[in-house]
Amino acid sequence: MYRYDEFDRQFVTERVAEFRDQVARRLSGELTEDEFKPLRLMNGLYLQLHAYMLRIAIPYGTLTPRQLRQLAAIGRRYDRGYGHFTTRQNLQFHWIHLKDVPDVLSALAEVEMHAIQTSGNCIRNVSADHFAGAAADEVADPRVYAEILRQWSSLHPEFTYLPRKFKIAVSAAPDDRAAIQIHDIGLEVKRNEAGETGFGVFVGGGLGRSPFIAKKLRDFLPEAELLSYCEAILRVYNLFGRRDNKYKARVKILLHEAGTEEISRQVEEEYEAIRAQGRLTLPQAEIDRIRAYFAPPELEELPARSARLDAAAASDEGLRRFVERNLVPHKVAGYGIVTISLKAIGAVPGDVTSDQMEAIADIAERYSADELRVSHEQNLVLPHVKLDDLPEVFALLEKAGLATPNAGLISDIIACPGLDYCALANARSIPLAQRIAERFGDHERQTLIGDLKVKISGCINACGHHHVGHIGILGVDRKGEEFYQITLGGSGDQNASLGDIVGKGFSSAEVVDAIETIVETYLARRENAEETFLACFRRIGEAPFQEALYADAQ
Amino acid sequence: MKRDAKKAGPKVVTANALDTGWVVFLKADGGWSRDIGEALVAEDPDAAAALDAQGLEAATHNLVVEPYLIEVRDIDGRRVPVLLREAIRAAGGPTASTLHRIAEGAVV
Repeated sequence: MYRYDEFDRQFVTERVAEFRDQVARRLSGELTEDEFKPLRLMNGLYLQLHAYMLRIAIPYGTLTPRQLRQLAAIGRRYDRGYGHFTTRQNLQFHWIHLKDVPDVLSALAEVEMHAIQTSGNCIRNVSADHFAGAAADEVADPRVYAEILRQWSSLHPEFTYLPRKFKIAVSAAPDDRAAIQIHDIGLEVKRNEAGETGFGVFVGGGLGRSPFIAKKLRDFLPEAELLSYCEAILRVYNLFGRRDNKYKARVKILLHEAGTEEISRQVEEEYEAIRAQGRLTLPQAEIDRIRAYFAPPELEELPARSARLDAAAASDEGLRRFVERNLVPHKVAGYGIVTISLKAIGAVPGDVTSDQMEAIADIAERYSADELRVSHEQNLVLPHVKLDDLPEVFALLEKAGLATPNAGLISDIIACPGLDYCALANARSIPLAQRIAERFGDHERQTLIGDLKVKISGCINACGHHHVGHIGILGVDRKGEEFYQITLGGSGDQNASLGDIVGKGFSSAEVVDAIETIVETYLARRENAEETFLACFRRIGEAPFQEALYADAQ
Repeated sequence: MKRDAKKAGPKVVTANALDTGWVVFLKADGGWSRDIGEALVAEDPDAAAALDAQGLEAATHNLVVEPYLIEVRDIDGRRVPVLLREAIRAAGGPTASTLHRIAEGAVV
């Protein structure tokens, strides 16, 4: 992975020292909260319901065991012994004391991490496919381009005060696991007929109170033009994005109001001007230099199937289930990609204790070529596991309470922190996720239901991605009571779609039964076991679900 | 934060402590407590306005951040916030372990 050079190291160290001074001045009263707030937000420090929250960037979801151990140590020393992985591949500590933040940032800097640009109206942490560098279906490693974008966008002087925050995601496989079409810029790394690398460029996706699927501005942007084109998009957005209304300030609204054709025209015009200067055209040597940081690990030549794993799985029901759900093909024969579910039945989605972090770091060091990934679905990934080693890996994960075989099943729920932590939330997400997982916790039942993505947000800001959940749940406050609005048919993949609101909302007491009614309707109406919930919904529409949910009302 | 001292009903002042960020409530002696049971209650709008001003004054001394009034009521001799959001804040942490108590109607 990318390693800091001297400039990076010096910059992050100086930034820690600067913030240490700012914190001291705030605690002494020299700075008021109004003066301090923008400074702390620039360093990822929020004040939430119960305490300060520090959001730490994990660029493109790539993490080393050494970094995870440091996060474990920080969690144990400065927080409450756990951390929370978010839907943007970040990690949040929810109980940090203000006086400790400079020491935490210093500890992060020791392992080449920081919290810069995890808040504010700037270009946020660039996210990527969590199977990057390992997936059998990828055409290139998307992290190379995510890293180039990270370097370009870090403290970019022109884009530090954008109309609103700006999120970029990169995928490099036909199966979009990075949800690029719900980002401000989504990049699909691809090859043209000549075998050249380039990008499909999507712009203006986003969720929140006005959800939009991104529009494709370019089907194939040459590799060398990545920064020129992104700078053109950002420049048009920075000039014309609305600053009069924060709810209409994202680039998706600009596209919606001005029209895709007009924005495309402006971007192309700006792009030509930038390109004429040649300032941002990527030299091949620089791309190669960055690519070298992401060189694949040296893996053995092995048979595609592991007799050892097959034999172990035949006699171990738990391992068999784990292999069926949490193992996907690797680009190298004899290896697999393992999802570590942070969704044990009844657990808090995305939460992981310091002890578990250390256990995962040990496993990754020994069995996954010293590499880890974080998924936007709030799970962790061991990207390079030898199939022969999987019985040991499974046993170690099981010992740490991390072997839940539910990747992609109904209990693998995305949930934002909701009203349990977040100052913006209207309703709780976590307890609802726990109740749904418990209702459907039986493995045989989950497996019978098959692939089903449930996503829960505690407010309209949609951090839980409910708009693109196969079943999406939005928590609202109705006269002081929690209600939940259900959407059906959303998807964040290459066939992205926004869910349809199925009808009136449900009380907290009713909503789990409502989800069960939806699931039972699907099971009764699907053509066969191979027809997924999403495929079934797209075939039959929402009417059968509405009839089942609101039969009594009619 | 919207200031609503004129709204009827008993109120207390809450804020977050500057150094820890923890939820705190203004006491009669001018100090701050994590226990809402120790909060000074304003029973009428005039008292609420005075309490609100006291909270704002404390913020200028950099003890707390963003003080504001919340409505409270007594249930079985316990003082609890009227709104769920404030009940969760007053509980001092996420509701997963206290879910049943809240579901039983203690605070909603």
